[in-house]
Amino acid sequence: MKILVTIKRVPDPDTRIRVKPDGSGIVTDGIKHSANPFDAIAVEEALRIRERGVDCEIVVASVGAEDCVEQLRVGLAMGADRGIWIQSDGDLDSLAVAQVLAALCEREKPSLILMGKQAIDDDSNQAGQMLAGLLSLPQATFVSKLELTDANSRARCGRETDSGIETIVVKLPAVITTDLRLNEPRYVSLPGIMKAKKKPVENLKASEVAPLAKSRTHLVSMEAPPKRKAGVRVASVDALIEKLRNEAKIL
Amino acid sequence: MTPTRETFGNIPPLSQWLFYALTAAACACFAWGVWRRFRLWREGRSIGLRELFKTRLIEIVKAARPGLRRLLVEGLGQERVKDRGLAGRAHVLLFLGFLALFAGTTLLEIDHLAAMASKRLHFHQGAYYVAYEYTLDVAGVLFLAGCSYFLWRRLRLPGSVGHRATDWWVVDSFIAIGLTGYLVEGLRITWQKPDGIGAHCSPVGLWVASAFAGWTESSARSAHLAVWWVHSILVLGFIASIPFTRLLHTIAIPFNLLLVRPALGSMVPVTMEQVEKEERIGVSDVRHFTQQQLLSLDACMECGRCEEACPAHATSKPLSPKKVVQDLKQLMTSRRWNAVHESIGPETLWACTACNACASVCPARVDPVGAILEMRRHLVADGGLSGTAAVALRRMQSSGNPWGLPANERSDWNSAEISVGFGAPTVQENPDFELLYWVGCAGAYDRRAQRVTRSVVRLLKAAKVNFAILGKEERCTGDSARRLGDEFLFQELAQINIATLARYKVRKIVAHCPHCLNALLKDYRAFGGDYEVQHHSQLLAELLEAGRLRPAEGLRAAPPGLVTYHDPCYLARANGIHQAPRDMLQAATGERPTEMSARREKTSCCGAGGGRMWMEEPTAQRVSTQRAAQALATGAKTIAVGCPFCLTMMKDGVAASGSETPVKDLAEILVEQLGL
Ligand code: SF4
Ligand code: SF4
Repeated sequence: MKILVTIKRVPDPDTRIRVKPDGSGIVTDGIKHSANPFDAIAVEEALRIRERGVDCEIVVASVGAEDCVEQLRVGLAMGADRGIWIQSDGDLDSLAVAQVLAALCEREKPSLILMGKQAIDDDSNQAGQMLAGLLSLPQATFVSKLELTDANSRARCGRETDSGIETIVVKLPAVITTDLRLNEPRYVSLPGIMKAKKKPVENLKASEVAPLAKSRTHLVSMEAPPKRKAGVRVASVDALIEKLRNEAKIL
Repeated sequence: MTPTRETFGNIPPLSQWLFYALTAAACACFAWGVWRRFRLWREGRSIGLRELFKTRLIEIVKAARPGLRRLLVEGLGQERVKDRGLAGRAHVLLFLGFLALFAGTTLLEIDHLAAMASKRLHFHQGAYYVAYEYTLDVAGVLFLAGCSYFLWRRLRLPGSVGHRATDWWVVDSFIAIGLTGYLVEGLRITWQKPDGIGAHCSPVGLWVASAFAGWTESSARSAHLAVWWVHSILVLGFIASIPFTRLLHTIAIPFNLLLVRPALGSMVPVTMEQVEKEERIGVSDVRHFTQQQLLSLDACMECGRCEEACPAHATSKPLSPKKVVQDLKQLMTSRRWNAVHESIGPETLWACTACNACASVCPARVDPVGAILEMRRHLVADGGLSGTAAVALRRMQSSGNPWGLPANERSDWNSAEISVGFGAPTVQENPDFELLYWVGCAGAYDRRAQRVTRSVVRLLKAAKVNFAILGKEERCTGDSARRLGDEFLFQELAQINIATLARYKVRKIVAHCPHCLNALLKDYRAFGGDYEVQHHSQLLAELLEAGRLRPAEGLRAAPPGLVTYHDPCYLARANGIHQAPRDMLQAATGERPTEMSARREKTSCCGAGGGRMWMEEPTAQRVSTQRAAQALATGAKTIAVGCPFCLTMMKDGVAASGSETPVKDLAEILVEQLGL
């Protein structure tokens, strides 16, 4: 079977983000980027499916400017077999990305599409759902447990919902988006990345793959959340209760 | 009559010739056995012996000097064998007895051949003979005493010692060789009836002879021949079996002592070119080890000392350094070269705290931890690391510290201090500094360890030391990365730090973290970083000694009560620093610290080394719980530590034991005592 995993290049989760003074975006100078952590979980899950004995090809794909190839290499170093970089120079919104990926899926015909549940840069949490919609495929989102059943024709998924874990079975091909607790992705070191340099990365153009895809939303401005006011220290438990009751009006 | 005895007396010529034929066979078997092992050792990476032998003699002597010294002190002198209670002493007896008997037999043969050439060359007589007989008689007793202990121990079967079927042959044949040797001697004396001093130079032989007092000469002679044959066959069997039994260590250890380059706390760097050329990093195949490392596998005689010293093993983790060595040896013997990671699982490799206890106790100078770290390198490159330790490494990559906090918040601990006049100057603020204070990631970011940093700064300021810190320009030294197996992340961090240190022309550094100290001192040297590095306890002890640190009048706090000190592995064992912290504590509190039994170079790990700081483990299995219990058992009122990782670990360990005993860094105790 073929598994397609998408990877988005995002600012590293451990860097502190600053908004540009003009509000046009974030300061990208000197900040490190990495693969979206939820996407890394998706790649890891594909690898684990293979390690559990399922014969499969793992393809990683990324939509973006040239530097996103760096993140594809991380996926390849983790163990994916080949990469597809869909070049797009302007920022695409979730729907446009989903349209590009849908076109890619028409071509690649994967039996399983694994995606991070959301990217940690804009936290939109839409591309997976939209892709499933565009392709009319079943979807399972926020998956924290995944098991292929019925000769790998179905996936049994545990979904993280507010009220607990919901278990559903989807028929493959399907779109599955991964949540934090699904697995702990393996670490990638420099020699691993070097070895992965030999693996092929195909370069496609978004404008050719999906000529009709275009963003419908545009970033107007960005601003940092207001600074939190310093807390106050209360002298006693009684004072705390009194403040909670009268000032915060929680009690 | 000159006291002497005839060599091969009572042994008919046919038996003599048969004996020589069998000796030749035994030696051939021995040589073949050693050759087989030698061919296995040769499969490892070259250690440049051939190149060395092509250089000038003086170079060879220079290279061999430390090895020869080890051979003398640790081989002949049994220095590292000695201290392990009875077993160590029994081995010394066995070894010395054996050496004397072996030398004696060789001399006897030399005399025999010399006498055959010319009667005048015969020297086995007179005073020499008396001394010879007496020495060998005593040596036999020592040898038998040593062997008997090992037989007794083998019957009791302690778990840490290896057990193989052939061991019975080794111990039993040794004892039988000793006993038959005395029987041969006793029977000879029965009919020979030596007189004068010759009669007294073999006390044990005489005593044995007394048992045969009533025997006629002819029955004594035939019994002598029979026992002599048993004795000879046992000896020859022993020689032939050396390469095939535990006795192999007697061949491998001397060579290992000669060739090993012991270096606690250092690791061999790997370059990118090497990785590209060999298309690998670390060890996944036994042949990736060096020839010396392969030889050392055969030097291991399974004494089990490393296993007893291993904190991971003591807390029921799936790691025994002895087993690692034996598993590798097994792979080498069966030539299953590339089955390293099948045979030694990742749980085993990740359990190691790189505390070096195993390497430092091994009498044969085997280095299990070195092998483990090499195997980790491969595991990491192969995607074998995940979980919290992987997160820590990613953070070191992205933020230059394992906490993942922004690099430009590295000095935040200092801002608060500056406002109250206690801040540390940066290298820009004090460009004429003499000493650089290396704060380290824990000291900069960990809330508890920041208190240690502040204490050190207070003390340095009180003693008017001309120092500075790197502030935001400091990065993680990369110790955890290197010992977890990510060599290139370590090198990246090392290069950044070395460049920064060069920019500010740093020569002298003080650090309160032994991991930073070890990295700056030993790891960075291979990358061009050459510094004089002190632990803060060393500097503070000097300052106290010189009177530059004194309690303010009337301010000295009440003594904190009994203090015990936990030696950090990377300070006490890897760098031999264990007196200064004690001197400092004594000067600070006026009392000697109370001691745990595992202390100084023999300290027991807190569990944080080798990157284990960043791994989760269940409380019951924590190394720290065990070490904290040892510290609490001393009854101390305060537990002193000299490492921010130990601080975290011991604090958790004490809490897990339900105790509230405070755990403090040496500097904090000193600040309290001086009333600063
Ligand atoms: S490695 Fe050394 S300490 Fe460990 S069992 Fe072997 S000889 Fe003994
Ligand atoms: S270094 Fe320490 S933890 Fe690792 S094997 Fe040796 S004794 Fe055990």
